[in-house]
Amino acid sequence: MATFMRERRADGRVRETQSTSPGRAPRRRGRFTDRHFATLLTLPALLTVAAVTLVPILIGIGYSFTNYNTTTPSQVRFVGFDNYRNLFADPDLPRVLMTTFLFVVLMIGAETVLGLGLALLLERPMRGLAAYRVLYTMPLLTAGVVVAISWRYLLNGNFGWFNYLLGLLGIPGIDWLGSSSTALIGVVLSDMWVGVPLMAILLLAGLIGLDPELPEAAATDGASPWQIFRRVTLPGLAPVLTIAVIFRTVDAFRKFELIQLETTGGPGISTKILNLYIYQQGFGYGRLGYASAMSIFLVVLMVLALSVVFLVGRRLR
Amino acid sequence: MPDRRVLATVALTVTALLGAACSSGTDSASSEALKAGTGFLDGGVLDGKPYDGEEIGVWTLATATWSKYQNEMSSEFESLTGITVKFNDIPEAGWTDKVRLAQVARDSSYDVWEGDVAFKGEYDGRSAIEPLDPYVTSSVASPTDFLSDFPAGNVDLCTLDGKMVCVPEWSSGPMLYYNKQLLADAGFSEPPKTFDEFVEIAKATKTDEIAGVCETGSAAQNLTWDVYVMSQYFLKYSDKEPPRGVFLGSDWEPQFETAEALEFGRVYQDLLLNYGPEGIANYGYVECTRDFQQGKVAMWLDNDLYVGQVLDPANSQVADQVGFAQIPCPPVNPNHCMPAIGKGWFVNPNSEKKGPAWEYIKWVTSKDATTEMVQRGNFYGGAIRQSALSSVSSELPEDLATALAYQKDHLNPNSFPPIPELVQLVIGVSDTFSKIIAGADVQDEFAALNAKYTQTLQEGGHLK
Repeated sequence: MATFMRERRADGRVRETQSTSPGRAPRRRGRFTDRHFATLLTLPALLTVAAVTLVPILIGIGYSFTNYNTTTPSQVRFVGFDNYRNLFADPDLPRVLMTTFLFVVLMIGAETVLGLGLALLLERPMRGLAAYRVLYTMPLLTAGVVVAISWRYLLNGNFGWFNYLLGLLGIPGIDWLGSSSTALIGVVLSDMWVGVPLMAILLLAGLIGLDPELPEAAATDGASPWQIFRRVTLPGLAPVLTIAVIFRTVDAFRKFELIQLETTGGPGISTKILNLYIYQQGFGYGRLGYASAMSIFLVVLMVLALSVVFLVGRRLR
Repeated sequence: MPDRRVLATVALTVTALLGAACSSGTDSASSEALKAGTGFLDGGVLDGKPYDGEEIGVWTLATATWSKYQNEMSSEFESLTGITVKFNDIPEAGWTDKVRLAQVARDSSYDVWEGDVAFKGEYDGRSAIEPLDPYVTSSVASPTDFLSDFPAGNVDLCTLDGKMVCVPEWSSGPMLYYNKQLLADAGFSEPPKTFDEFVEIAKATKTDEIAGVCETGSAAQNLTWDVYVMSQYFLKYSDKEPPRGVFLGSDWEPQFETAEALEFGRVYQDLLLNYGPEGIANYGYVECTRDFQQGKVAMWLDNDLYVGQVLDPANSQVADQVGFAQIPCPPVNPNHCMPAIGKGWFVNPNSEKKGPAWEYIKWVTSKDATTEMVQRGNFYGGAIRQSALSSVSSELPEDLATALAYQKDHLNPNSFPPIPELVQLVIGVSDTFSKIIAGADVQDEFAALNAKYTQTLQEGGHLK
């Protein structure tokens, strides 16, 4: 890198020399470098992102230390850690956390297994493959609200299609969304309609990227199909699988419109996950301070869950 | 140093200008609101259309029968006044959230809204109410007899601390709809005369295809109303001021752990779980209306807003079999067992078009408009004016007229305490009874609800 140096000679004159020695160019005060220019160009985007993410997060953290309530907004005051203490004394919270855990596990488990199966099926060359791939991506084009309302009617205990089809098989109808013992399963089923194709697309991309010679070599060495899948395919797919599960895990924690429109968290609180509970506390009861503290708690839970996913993904490789 | 006289002149001029600006601001706001004429109540037309070309935003509840009529009729208002009405029909599930956030944010994008009169205390707590006494009493903005045609109970619905805060839009009370044929098949020729008989008939009429009773079971669909109606037959009414409702004692103490409340909870759970329709946890008034119209429900205790739908032969298979009745008040609550609910038209205090907003309210609550709404769909709740109800009373089935008269004579116009914390109390009831419908233990849930009520009322300064 060429650098310029100035030195004052004994006679007082300033000499400027060019040096080709390696090293950083001396910083020139007041010089507007390319780096400064790049920073300046990204500043509007950074400020916008900060405004719509960082600022609300900071405000939410601030609210979590107040008793802010929308029914009496003028009476807001600082309450320290009271909201966090009340969180752990909330009698409904243990049940809500269990429901959240069950929902996430069921949703991720079912969608990963079925999505992987679908991806493996569609990776093989077959007639009409392009058409099948288009068909199974169609649920992804449907708005979440439409999915929720449609499945609410499909699973209706009195006139839903599900029970009608079960009836044709001689199986008694189930009150899917009206019974606290089956409502969560009904909600998971609804989500799988979109979640399985989504997983399949992500995993199919991973499968296509794998080296085809490895399973061939394993087969030549006498490995069974299960051994090939377990020892060759799955480790190779682990990075993509981890990313896919991370996306779906975050989505599971954030799930709102599906449950709100299908069951509103009922019957009772059998489908009330933490996200919905926060919404009810904040916008139903108006207790925004308390809801903010609960939101911080939700973020902590999500970080823990994602850490587990990362660890498992690393072990798979 | 400038001449003192110059300084004084400048100071006086500035002061005068500031004072003129402030007062003209106030004067222009009040004169803006009051400059319109009084033509509507007798079907007249505003002189000169003072608000011609203006547009106002009106927030109403979607899927409500009356909203449909108001939308359909608004072209008449527009042609009379030149004011365009832009309706925003908001689904019930999101209504409370949207209104609350708009009020907290001092949203000025809407000018008129139909608010739940039970929550007027909450609206007041957020300074979201425009006092309407100046509008009603102004000889410029309103005729002198503007309120004379309203029954006193209806005006009370819109009164808070002696001030008028809205104009009644509709009011409603309980109504027992029953299927005469289904009751006769079970050996009952008359509707129930006590709540015990109500339970007995529900049990006797229940079959695999028929529900003995239908009630709202979904927390998202105003479950609290049905709970409140039934609770009147178990809990004592407190006539203290401000009103407490039946869930609170005279000193604001919650009543959920009393023997009467626990009995009510158990009867309610038994009734809905064992004698209601399958999947009642997801039932609202839409589902109950549908099932009743299809002849699948023996009795439906709700409010009187659905009379038109069950009598409509185009949609109701039981139009010629439906009976109307009231379960008479019990000894524990002999005079006020008919809770009232209703909506009122409120002016948004942040609106910049209060004058046009008031014109719309006067029109939509006028004798002509309310009479037309009542006649369009047998929407008797819209008969907030005596004259509107009189226009259709001769057409009412006799048992309906008797049931409505009993309701009005035993009305509880302030079913809920008009305090800012009301929504928390209502949601608490909704949540608890939703769990009870799902099979939770009544005693445990009522104990938890009692604790929540106590905390809420203490934080609000009502309970020591």
